[in-house]
Amino acid sequence: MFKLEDVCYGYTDGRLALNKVNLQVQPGEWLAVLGANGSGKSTLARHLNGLLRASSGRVLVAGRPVEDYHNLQDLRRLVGIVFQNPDNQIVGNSVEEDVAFGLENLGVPRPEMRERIAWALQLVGLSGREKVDPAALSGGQKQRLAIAGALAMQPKALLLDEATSMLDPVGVAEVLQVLQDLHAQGLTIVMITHNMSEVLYTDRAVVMAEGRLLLDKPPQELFAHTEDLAQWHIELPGVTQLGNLLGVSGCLDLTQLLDALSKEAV
Amino acid sequence: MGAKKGGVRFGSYYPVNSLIHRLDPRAKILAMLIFMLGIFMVNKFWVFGLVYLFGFIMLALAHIPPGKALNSVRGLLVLLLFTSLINMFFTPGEQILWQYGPLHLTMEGLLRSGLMLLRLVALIAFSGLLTFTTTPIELADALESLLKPFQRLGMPVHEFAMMMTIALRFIPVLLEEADKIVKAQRSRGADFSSGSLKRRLNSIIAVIVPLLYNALKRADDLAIAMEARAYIGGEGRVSLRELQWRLTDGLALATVLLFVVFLFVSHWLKWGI
Ligand SMILES: Nc1ncnc2c1ncn2[C@@H]1O[C@H](COP(=O)(O)OP(=O)(O)OP(=O)(O)O)[C@@H](O)[C@H]1O
Ligand SMILES: [Mg+2]
Repeated sequence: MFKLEDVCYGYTDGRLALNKVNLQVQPGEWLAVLGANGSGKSTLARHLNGLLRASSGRVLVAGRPVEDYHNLQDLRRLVGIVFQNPDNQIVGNSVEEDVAFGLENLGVPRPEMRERIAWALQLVGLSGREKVDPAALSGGQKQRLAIAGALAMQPKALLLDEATSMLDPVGVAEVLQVLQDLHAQGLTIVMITHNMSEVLYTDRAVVMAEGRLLLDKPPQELFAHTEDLAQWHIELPGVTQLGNLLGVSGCLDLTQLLDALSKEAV
Repeated sequence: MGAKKGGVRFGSYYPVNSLIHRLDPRAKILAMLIFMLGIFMVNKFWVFGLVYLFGFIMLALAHIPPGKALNSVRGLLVLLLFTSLINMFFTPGEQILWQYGPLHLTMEGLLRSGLMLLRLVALIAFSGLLTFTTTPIELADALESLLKPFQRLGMPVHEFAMMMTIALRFIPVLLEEADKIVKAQRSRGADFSSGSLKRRLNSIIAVIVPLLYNALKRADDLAIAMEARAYIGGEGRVSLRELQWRLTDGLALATVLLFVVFLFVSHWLKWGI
């Protein structure tokens, strides 16, 4: 779905926010991107739908270099993105109008627009709320609305830039549930997060530091690299930390920890 | 203006389903504009009688209690009284009823200030009728549609309407944020209601600066989010909301037009006061 070849990018201050990044994401894959503040995660995400252009190297989306998308709308339609702050990405004055925003921009005819809105709201569990004012939604609902707005454009991939970081645990769980459903339906997901317990849901995790891609592993293996992660200021889930203290590494939840501990005991 | 959590209603949108509410907002804007022109032509008390009768019929059709309409006038009461007093005491005329220094009350002044008062109240009440029955979003849509011809002359009509829509969307967000900042500053000892002017000013600045900073950050975020959702301006855009001009809209506008023609004619009539 995505292929980055030696991608570099620098903002105006001269430092490289992306430094020779190579990355391939398969269709249908769920990738987690980890890294400390300022490590270049958002910059990476913005290269995947043409919001930013690489200073050098190549970015391919669905097999085509981004420069070849002469109509940028085609690229935006293919790759949806959800940002951190729910309040700063909702444009519409009602739920349905917000979902419509992307479709309006694409010039989708009204009857089809209505169908797609209903479909997208159904996917995120907001059916029946079409006329509600977004200000009246909870954080988790707002982010699900933002996801619906991206989904209505029928993208092949969804990017989430710390989309759960401002939510309470209930909101996080709601969003993760929606992502699991979408993943099961074959959507490619790239999820930037600080929260290691979210990484458990993904197929693969990469760690960034200072514009470079460092680790690229399935989540289970990643968690064995305790020292490295600590060095990059990434915190493991409580269970994993406890397991590491007790001498069993790579445990992702309580059952695994108990299993591993009972094996140790035998 | 009132802000409630979970939805802000400006001016005074009065949410009921009436004939007037259902009219195309473009018809309502046009009707109001020509009606206001008409009101400026009225120079006789008996014609104002008819104007107010017309107004009450409209209110009834819109299911708006007259008290609500009067409320919007009450807000401007001081201004109204002031202008009519000036008119009353400074209009020169023949029939002097009372005099004290430069102040004089003439028959002409009395009549003129009466007409002026009636005119202003009518103007306020009728513009209220528009905002009572039309949501701000409908107004934005209608303005965009009505001004569309000027787009060709380079007027940023779509951008203007989009700005209005976004402003409406963000006003509750900013109000809530302002409230939070005020509370935070208060808990740090900021005082908004007592102390010297300088202290109070400082407290207010301590609210405005973070509010402005956050608003700019929001604008930046929102611009990126809109771009990510394929926003490229007004060209080729299809709005989900659709304005539909129906027969009733034409009839309503025609009725108002007819009445306004009568108001113009009445201006030159010789009889009646
Ligand atoms: N608009 C910008 N202008 C200049 N420099 C920027 C801009 N955005 C980010 N940077 C810089 O680029 C680097 C990478 O930033 P980026 O936002 O990609 O990091 P991040 O991993 O997303 O961090 P966070 O976890 O805080 O979101 C940082 O050093 C940052 O200061
Ligand atoms: Mg970021």
